[in-house]
Amino acid sequence: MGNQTQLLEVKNVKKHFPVKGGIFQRPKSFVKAVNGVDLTVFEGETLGIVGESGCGKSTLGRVLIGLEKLTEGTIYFNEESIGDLPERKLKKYKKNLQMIFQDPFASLNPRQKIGDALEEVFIIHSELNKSERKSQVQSLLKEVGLKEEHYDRYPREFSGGQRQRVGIARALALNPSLIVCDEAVSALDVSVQAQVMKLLKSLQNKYHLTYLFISHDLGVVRYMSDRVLVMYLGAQVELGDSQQIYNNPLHPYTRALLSAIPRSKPKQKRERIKLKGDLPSASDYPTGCPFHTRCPIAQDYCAEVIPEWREIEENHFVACHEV
Amino acid sequence: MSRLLNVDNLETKFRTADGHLPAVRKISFSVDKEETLCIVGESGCGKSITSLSIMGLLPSNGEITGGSIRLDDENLIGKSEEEMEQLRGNALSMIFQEPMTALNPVLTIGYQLREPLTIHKNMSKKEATKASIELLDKVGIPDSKEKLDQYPHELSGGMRQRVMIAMALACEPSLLVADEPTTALDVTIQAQILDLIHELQSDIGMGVIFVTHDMGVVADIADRVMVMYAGEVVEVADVESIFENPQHPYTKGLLESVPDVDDVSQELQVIKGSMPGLNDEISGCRFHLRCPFATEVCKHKEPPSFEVTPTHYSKCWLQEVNQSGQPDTIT
Repeated sequence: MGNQTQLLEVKNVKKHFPVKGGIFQRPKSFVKAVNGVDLTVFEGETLGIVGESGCGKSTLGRVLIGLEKLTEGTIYFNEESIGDLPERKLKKYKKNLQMIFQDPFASLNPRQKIGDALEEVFIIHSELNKSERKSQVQSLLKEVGLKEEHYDRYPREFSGGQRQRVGIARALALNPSLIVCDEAVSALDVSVQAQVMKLLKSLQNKYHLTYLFISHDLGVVRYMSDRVLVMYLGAQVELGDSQQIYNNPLHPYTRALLSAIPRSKPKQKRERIKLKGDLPSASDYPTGCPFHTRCPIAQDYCAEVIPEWREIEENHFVACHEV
Repeated sequence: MSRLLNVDNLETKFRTADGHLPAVRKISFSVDKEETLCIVGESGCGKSITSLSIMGLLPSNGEITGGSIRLDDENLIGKSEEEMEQLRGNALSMIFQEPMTALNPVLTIGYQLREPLTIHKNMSKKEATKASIELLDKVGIPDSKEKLDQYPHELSGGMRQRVMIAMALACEPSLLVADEPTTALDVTIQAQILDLIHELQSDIGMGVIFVTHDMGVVADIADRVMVMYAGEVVEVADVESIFENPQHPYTKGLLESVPDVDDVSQELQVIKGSMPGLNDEISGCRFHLRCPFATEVCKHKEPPSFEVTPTHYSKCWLQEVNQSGQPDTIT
């Protein structure tokens, strides 16, 4: 890993959303959606981000490509700080940073033909003329496994898998270097999900893309990712190579998460690590280690001291007092 | 074990602008007492419509156009709405995927829990309140007494699903239909809910129809598995056979397209194409357009359900080849 080029460097990134109240709508408290993340993303890798709903994985993805303003921290893209740039200056970086959403149908205009929707990307970001744009769009459609005749069709005529292919084509249009895939295959049926994952992998090889692959499905993340970041309640709890995370999970939360996945092996009962209770609300953030309220091995001091982010073995980081 | 539910040649159609579209195409299956039957398949395969047909809860443009559904030898088809209301929440219960849309947002948890008890068990309000507290304890909700006065929005997703389960089990039904009850939940919460359903099932001794698309959940909870594709049952077997010796190419494809958390080296298999629409008339086997093993006969003639073992059936022509002693083509 040492000789790889850094693409994105994230330092102490925080995103807090104000909860407003009272007649003057002043912020009463803050939802700490992302609460201090340090991360390096290398060129050409897939970094998986897993965690349960409300852990801040999607917010982190949105912050990293500039869809949300940072509350605190810095983001370096190719060694240039982009975290605090105004919208106007951010535009040239946005070409390089793209996103694939969970439900592409929600982001398509139902009255606009697919071809026209994809062409818009080139109208905004390039100086191509009309016929050049059309041929660009057609080659994009082919690239993602659609046909030229899909150019003149409307979103409703596409199946879920085909719509996601349109979403991928749109993200791919400007030759980005980083694509954030936010639950990109979660809404698809398994047979179609496998098709789309294979497509993403082959595009990555062909264009040397870097993926941030956000998902709650640990099987999907394992299939896609080189490295995996586990998040809990806005904080990073464990980061390591896929192998390390899945074969040798160190953080009690990662262990519980992995043990909770139902395996496709009937009658082979695995011992599940049961977590008590539910995820605490992010507006009522626990003191100390965010996981201590549900942790099976929590000690008294876990409620007071925030655990340090430590490198336990090479490239394997954990935030836990007890490891 | 004795038979609880018998579904025979069930056919459900929807009236639409494009005509009568069959969503469930003459399927037959059964559930024994204390048994869990999992119905698996992808969206549009008819698994939810099958469960709604049993409950008599089809949307207004849907109707059962043939077959029979017998619960303890009583045919449910043709029953009046009043008669079905007597059964629902009593002998027949259902839990849904999204508890927030199934629970009434303006009524307290207590009110909604007491309802089945006062209607079906003729309990007084006081008795019903007492029984509700016991039910909430049973499904593992802490501070059950205070929870009775709360509204659904005050509870988390996992807690809401527990309330749904408590409501469904209030009258100790003989059959519980669970339609993707854990799909919207996080894995750690899903594990809690699956364990809970399993525990309560052996307590009450009810039969369960569990509808899901997640093969992991199937392995966890099923006794028997029924795989559906495009409105038809393509394979039925006990849970071990489905995972260790799947016969139908669709079942195999389904199992091989799920990424395994424990195996990095796994090569994902892809089922080409996508699920046909309800109004697509496909001649022969409904899967042949996507099937890697399709032969000439598959295009023209619908396969019958072949017996693999007495507990294992597959609706595929490959079985005929196997059984007539020709080389095994599907290994």
